Amino acid sequence: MAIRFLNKQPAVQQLSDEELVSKFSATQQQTYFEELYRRYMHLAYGVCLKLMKNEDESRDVVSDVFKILFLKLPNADIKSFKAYLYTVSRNECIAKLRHRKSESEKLAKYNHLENSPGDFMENDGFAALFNANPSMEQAVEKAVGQLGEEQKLCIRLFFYDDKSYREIATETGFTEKQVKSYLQNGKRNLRILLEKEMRKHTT
Amino acid sequence: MDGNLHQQIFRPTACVSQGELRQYLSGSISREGLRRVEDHLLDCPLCSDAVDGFEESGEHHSDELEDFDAFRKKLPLQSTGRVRQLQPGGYLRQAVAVAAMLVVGAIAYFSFSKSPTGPELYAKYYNAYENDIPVSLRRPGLSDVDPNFAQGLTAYSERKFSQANMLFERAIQQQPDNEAAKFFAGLSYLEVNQTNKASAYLSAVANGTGVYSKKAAWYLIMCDLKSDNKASAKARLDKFVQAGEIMVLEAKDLREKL
Repeated sequence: MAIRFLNKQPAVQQLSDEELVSKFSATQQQTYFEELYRRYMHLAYGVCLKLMKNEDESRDVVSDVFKILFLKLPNADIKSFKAYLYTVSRNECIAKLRHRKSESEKLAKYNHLENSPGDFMENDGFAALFNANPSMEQAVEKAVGQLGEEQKLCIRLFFYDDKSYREIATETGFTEKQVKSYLQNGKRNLRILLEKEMRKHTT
Repeated sequence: MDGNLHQQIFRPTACVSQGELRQYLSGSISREGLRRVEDHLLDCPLCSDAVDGFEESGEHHSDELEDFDAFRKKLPLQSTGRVRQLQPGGYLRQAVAVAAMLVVGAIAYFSFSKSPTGPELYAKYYNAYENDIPVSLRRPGLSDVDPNFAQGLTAYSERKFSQANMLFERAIQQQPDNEAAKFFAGLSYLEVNQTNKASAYLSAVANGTGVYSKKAAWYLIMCDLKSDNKASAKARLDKFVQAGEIMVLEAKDLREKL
């Protein structure tokens, strides 16, 4: 009984993406792949919808993407499953768009996307660094002050006042797309400024 | 605002689940859920693009997507990881089935033991590369397009490969670093069975790091098949499969045939 207890495996739902990839690679058991499919299939479909602008084609591409992942995962050196999925999804869409003769003009727009891993922000390590250095709180305030006006305004409304994209759009007159863009760029710039500040502290 | 500002801004968040996505798109998500999703979209291009895709297409649900049981049938391998229980009463039936399979397998082996030739595999796996690049992209960074190259591409599109080769050769003479001209020259030579020349141009492109390098590597394999050099095709294919990224399913399938 004790041995059974010690050997008890966590449910697949409790495993991280990278643990699922690792276990799938080691055992080839579909249970692990199925969980990744369940977690991400709808997101891969949304990414394909954005590029393909067609529901049926997007369904086909998502199916191809997961077939590719099924074959490649066991031998791939993957640091982040979602970043990998994102790259494969976009590359498959671009490949399909290339085969649409009438879509060739769109290539100019997508060429730069191919093989680009996207700009995923992994906050875990960054937040841990902050927690080890409480004096950084002031640095955050200072860094927010250094942002451009639009980014600063959106960051304050979103993070200080807990407003949604829509509420910020209503308040500022920006579109919701602009709000999201200002927030994404503002957060990226904040991170760059704070990393610089941290380097000052550590040297 | 809860907690410190830096904790608020840089807290790690998980990807958007299917249920959350449905609620977010339909506007029925709770205030707390909305905050979590919108916060996460700032850090995750996968979720951010997915939400954009649904919003732009007007499709507000992903419920009709294929579930895993349906998807499983499309997979090339069927390792479900589940242990199948043998029924004791079925042993005889299974033994008969195995024996029958062995007999059929032996007949099939002696009848079809001749493996496909390189040209046969070429005929099966070769697909002509479509000239899908607009003029403005043919020479990145240059305002004027080399007329030989442009005319070569037109000839290539019209499947006038001998004419295309002549024009691509001129273009390469003018611009020895024109990767696209070498790539299309390689393809044109392949089409007219001049595999040595095709191989030389495609190798030059495949050994580089340009946008055509991976595609050239695939067509080099086709070149080997066309000249019935299966050993070389197999060696290249092993590297190609290891690198992955394009033509993954076809490459794996072809490797099994080789």
